Amino acid sequence: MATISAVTNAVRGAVTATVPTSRPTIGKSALLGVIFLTAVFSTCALLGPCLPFPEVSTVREKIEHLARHGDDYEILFVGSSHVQFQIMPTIFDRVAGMNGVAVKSFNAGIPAMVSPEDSYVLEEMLRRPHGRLRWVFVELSCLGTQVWGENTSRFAYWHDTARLTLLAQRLRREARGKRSRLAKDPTATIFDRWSVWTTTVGRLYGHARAWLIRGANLSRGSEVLSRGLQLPGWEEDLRGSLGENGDGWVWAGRRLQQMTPEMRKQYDGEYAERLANPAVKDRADAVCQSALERIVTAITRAGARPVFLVPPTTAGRNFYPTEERERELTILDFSDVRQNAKLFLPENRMDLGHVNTAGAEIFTEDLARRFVELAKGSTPAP
Amino acid sequence: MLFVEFRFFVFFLIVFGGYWTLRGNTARKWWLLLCSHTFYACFFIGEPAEFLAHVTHGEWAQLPDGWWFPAVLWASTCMDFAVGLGIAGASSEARRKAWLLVSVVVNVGVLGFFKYFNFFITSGVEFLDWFGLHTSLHTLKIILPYGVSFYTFQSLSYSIDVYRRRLEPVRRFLDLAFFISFFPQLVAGPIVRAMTFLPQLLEKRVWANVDVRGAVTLFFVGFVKKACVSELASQFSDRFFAAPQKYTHPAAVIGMLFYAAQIYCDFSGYTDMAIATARLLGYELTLNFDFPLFSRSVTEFWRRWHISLSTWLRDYLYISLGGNRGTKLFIWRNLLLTMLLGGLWHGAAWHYVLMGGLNGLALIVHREWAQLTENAGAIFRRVMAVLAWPLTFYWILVTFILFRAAPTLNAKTHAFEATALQNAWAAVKAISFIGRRGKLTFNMESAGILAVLALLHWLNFHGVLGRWWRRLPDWACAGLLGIGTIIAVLFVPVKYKPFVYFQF
Repeated sequence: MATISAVTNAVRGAVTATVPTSRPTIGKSALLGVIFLTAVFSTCALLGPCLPFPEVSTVREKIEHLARHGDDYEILFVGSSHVQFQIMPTIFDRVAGMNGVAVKSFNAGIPAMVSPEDSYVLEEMLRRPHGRLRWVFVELSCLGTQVWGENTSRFAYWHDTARLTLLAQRLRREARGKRSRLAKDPTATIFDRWSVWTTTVGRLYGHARAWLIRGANLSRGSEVLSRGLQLPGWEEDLRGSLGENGDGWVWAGRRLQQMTPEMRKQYDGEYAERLANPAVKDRADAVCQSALERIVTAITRAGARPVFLVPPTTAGRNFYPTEERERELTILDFSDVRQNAKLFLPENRMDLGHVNTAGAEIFTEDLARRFVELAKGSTPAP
Repeated sequence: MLFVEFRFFVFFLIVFGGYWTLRGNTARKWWLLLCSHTFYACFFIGEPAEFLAHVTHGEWAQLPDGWWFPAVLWASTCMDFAVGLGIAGASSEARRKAWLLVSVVVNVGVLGFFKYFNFFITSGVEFLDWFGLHTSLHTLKIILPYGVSFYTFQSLSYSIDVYRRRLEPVRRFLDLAFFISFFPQLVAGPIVRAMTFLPQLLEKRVWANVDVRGAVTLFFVGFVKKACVSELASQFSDRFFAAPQKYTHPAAVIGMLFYAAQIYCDFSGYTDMAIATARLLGYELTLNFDFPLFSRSVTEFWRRWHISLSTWLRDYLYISLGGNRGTKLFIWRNLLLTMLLGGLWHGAAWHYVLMGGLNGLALIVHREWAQLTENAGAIFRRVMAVLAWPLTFYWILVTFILFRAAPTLNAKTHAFEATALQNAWAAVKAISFIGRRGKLTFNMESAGILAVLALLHWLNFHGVLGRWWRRLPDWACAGLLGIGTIIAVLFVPVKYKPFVYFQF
């Protein structure tokens, strides 16, 4: 490109700079833009598969563990902290074995993991060796559209196109629902409508941004470099993510073994409420149901059988499949405070949503016994 | 909103599209003024819907800290607009001077209050305590408005240039408001002079004259410097500065070199992106860095490092103090005072003042040395030519240590374990191979990274990379920029550290 030294831009510009002599045509500019974008997308597509799984605490360690030992397990437990802190594979295997069903299980629970992250993690795990896998226990959770930890790898790593599409559809439905409620509400102001719009757009932007971050492999090179150069932050904490026994169950810590007086007060209130009004089944919308179907498909394709869990929490609503699917799918519900009285004793609780280690032992034993009934009464998937 | 953030790219696409779509020069300036204030608001507004709701409901206490920052910016702009017209319309020299004094007092007062009030109070109390005089002076809870150090200097440059009759005062308020709040340089410079920028506002920018390829390349280089190199280097330098006395001498040098790379790439990267952004809108900002780490004297270093600040200090402070006129002692005083104030500009802390003082001393020493060795023999000159760069670079590193110095706090007791100056001294000893050596080291790969960075910087200094890049056809540049962008993105952290110069 020929250049001349000229007074910058306009007639009386004070600074000199090099400027092009020929005016770029729109066609040429468009062509250059296309070349730039092609280079961007093809580099992303080429680099992505060459990179290791992102450095997301606990997720990476569990997936890497399954990549090495996936063929050892018949059972996987997938879900949030309700699974990670509450299901003890050592106890589960022992109780099941004592009742005549010898299995080896792994707790693949990740704290704060809800739909659609759970389906992504599950699909990644099932992409690893799983020759003996027969059962996958998944915590039921509704598709969450909230944007949290926006600037973290934890938020970005699961934002593939499939998950983004689900989120966008759910956001659209949520916004439509809120708008129609506001239309009926005579006290609603323009700011309420504005707030619905900004919340929807803000969340969509947050998820789209995470999709871009994931697609562009943002920071993945520096993760490899940090690990290679042993820079702060790369350290692997296998005990913290796989637990003492290496089976994925992690002890929540001494501090979380009993409720604080304030929490106890809150718990008592919620408990009384659940005694009076048991939790309702929230079937949400078609988008949440399709996210659930995705999980079912992934598990059955892997040759295993899905079992859905409703953990022992005092929440007023629990996500459930449609009535028709509820009859077809296996759901183990532990949320009834009367039927699972032991799990709701204050001495067995960590907080409103979780049991402590003593409660986890009881919960795991109950779960194992119900699994044995299930295993003996059914023909496992091939 | 940082230049390296995703939302900036979205913001800039809107600004860029809107700007070049508008036909009239005035409409474009209004558009950029609006965009500049939107950019500025992003630093403190928080959630826009929440902010609007608080304003509508009159919940002033709920508004985020700093919601009043634009008021300071506007007040400063209005005052300088009035001062400019006042100076132009003054009937006597005394009146002109009085108008200028208003601008100097208000601008320096704003800067002094927001940036230095607590510093002077604390220092005064400590000083009196030292003499056993206990006072009950209290500090105030003051938040420093973003960019105040930069825009007050820009405003001052306008008033002083009008006073010195180098510049016609602007007759349209829009022009001055646009100059002071133009978003690429608003929060972290470069400090653009009114004389450089205001003439560019007179005529409509022409798209055909925009060097898109050059500007995009410059932005890319700045992005790589800040988002990749500076962030990577900070991981090493942070470790070193956390406990400088614990490192072996060679490891201390590596840690310090990484800090030099961090600070250089952070600030020059920011200004590269600022210049490129402005250039894509047809405006030219001041060059701010010209390979300062290759300087062969401290004097040369200050001609190449943060050029917009050093030339501002030279033209508006050093020359106002008397410059090179007068006795040797008088010139020394001017040099020292200018650099001390320059150090203080960087931050309200004594280690910045000391950094300025050391640079002032070095400038005096170099000035005298240059005069002394003016007629030295050829061999002496050759020896000095070899030693000039390492000696200068060592001195730069020492002053960088003072730039970074921070006290060590005990995480448990929150008590001071070492003051900033004690830590700085430990780092100086470590890089100077003096005193007890520690045991911590960096691995060999880190030295390799430094070598690659140094080689790239050297090749760029000698224009090798630039020449090669210019020979490439446009389509190859577009492709390589695409590939380079994605490779750079690989090394960008998910969460950035703020730009070092934002704190000023």
